[in-house]
Amino acid sequence: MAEATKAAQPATHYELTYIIRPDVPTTQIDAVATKLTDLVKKHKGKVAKTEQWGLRPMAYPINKHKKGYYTMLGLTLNGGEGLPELENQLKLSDDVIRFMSVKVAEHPKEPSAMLKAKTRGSEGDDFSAPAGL
Amino acid sequence: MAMEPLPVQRKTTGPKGKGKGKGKFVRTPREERPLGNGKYTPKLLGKAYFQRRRGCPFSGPKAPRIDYKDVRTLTKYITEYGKMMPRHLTGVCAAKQRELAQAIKRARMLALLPFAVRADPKADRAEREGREWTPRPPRERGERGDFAPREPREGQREGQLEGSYERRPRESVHTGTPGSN
Repeated sequence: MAEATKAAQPATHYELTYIIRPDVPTTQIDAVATKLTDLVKKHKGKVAKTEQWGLRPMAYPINKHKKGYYTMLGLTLNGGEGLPELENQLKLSDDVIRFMSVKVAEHPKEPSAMLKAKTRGSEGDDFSAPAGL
Repeated sequence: MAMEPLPVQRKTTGPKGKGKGKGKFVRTPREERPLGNGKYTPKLLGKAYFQRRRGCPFSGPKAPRIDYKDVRTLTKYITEYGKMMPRHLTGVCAAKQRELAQAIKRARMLALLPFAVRADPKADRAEREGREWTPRPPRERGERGDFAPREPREGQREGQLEGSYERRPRESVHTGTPGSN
C-alpha cells in the first residue's frame, strides 16, 4: 500500500527562500537550516541545494528591519508532502521574517544569479531600504 | 484689450512639382553630412533619433532565463519608481512579459525589489534642472532666530501664546474633572 502511494506521487521540486532577522546570532541561521532539513528528511524528501546569500539590504523594511540573512533551499519532495509543515514552522518561527516557496521545473546545477552577482562584487544595483524609517 | 491684428505672413509656395529639380541637387556623401543639421532627412532621422526595433530580449537561443532571483536582470524592466515597464517600451513578447511580471512580483515579496520607490519632488526637480540635489544641512544656531532650538516648555506655558489647542499642557485637560476615569 505504501509502495502504491509512493508511485502515485511524483517528485516535485521547490525553491524555499526565507529571510532571517539580522539581529540574530549567526549560529541561529544554521539552526533554522538544520531544522528545516530534518523536517524534509522526515518526509522522505531531499535537499538538493542550499544557498546562503548572506546579509543583504532589503528593498523595503520588513518588521522594521532593513537587512536580512537570505537563505534558499532547493527541495525535492514527494508530491509536495511535508511542505505545509515546513511553511507552518517558518510561520511560527520568530527569527524568520519572510519566506516564499516556489514550485520549479528542476534545480539548476550552477549557483543562482544571486550568488553570481555576489562574486562579481558589485552592490550598485542593490535596492537598500530607504534611510528614513 | 483690443487685439491688434497681426500681419499674416503667408509662405509663398512655389508651383507644385517644380521646386526641386531632381537633377540639380547633388547629395553630399553620407559620411560628410553632419548629424542633425536641421534639415529633414528621413533616412538620417530613422537612424539617429529612433532606436532600432529589436526582438524580445528573452526569446532566442541565448536569452537569459527569467528568474525572480536574478535581480540584476529584473531591474532593467522596472522604472525608477519600481513599477514594471510596459511591453511596448521594452520589446518583451507577451508570453515572456507574463513570466517577467510573475518574477518581479516574487522578487518584491522577498524584498529583492521595491514595490514602490518614493517620489522625491525636490530631487526630481533638481534632476530636471540638471543639478545635484543634496539635503540642506541643519541650520546653525544663530543663523535665523526662529530656527534656533526651541527653549523648554516653561516660557510657553506662562505666556499661553496663541493658545494653540494641541500645545496646551496635558494637565489642564484633566483639571476640570478630577477623580473621574
